Amino acid sequence: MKTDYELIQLFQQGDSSAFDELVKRHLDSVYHFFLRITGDEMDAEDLSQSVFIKLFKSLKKFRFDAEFTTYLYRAKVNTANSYFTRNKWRNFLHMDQSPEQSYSHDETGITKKEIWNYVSKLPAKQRNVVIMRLNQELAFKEIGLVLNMSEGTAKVNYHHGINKLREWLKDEYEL
Amino acid sequence: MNMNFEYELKTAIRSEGNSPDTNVFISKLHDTQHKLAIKKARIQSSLVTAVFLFMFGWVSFSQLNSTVFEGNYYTYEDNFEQYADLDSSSFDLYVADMALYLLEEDDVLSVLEFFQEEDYETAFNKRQESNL
Repeated sequence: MKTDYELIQLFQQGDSSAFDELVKRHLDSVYHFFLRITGDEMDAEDLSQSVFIKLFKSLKKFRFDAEFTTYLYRAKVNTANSYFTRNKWRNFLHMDQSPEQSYSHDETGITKKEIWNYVSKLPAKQRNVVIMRLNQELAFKEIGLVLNMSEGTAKVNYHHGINKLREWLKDEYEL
Repeated sequence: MNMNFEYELKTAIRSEGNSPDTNVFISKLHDTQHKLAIKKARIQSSLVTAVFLFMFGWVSFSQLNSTVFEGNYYTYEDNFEQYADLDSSSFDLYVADMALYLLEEDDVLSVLEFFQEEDYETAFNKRQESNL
């Protein structure tokens, strides 16, 4: 079985089936990353497509100075941020027609949509760390590598982000 | 407290669902890439056409600019003499040639009519007066 690096090298040499192999290998993690954020299968699939299209363009210039998974996490976080920005505009223009039933309630009554709405309001650094931690359950060291920051900075940003989320949510849900 | 809150958030965003069929997803991805490539080619050809049209228009305009009549058309009648003087020799030659041609036809009346049409007499007289 070829490694990600080997597949990228083959892709850079013009073998497009190597890229398909990469897609097969990472589709599951990318798709579930977005499903946790959107709660909608169609949206998750569209966002996954968008990530792989970006990768198709950028992998031709991949320099092998970082792990492919790190590269993939960055693409996922950037796409998630674009999705949040787009959603803010949609909400602002009252164009949000997505079905509410896809956002499940848990015992506390918090919905996925509400959580991500609040997450999207966090400052960029805090938001990115919170996304990586909540969605991918990554260690702070790995989050630091993905987001180009130290482990300590990642921890501090996460701490501030979570505190803000609790503050915003506690009035509504008595957390 | 923090851990509980974190756990609650993680629980709330948890999602159950099957991943899409890989082969279908890849074929959709190929379709999208193909569409994007077509779109890119269209944008490029549109840009090339736009640049070509702009350059063609600019060259045409600059050429027109160097040969166009530079006076004010609306005051042409008022300043007939001025404009007649600009190219009086060729105008005189033209009038003389036409007059000779008409005279050869033995039609004096048409010669007079021609002079009248061209307003030649008035202009000629005015120029003579100014020369004096």
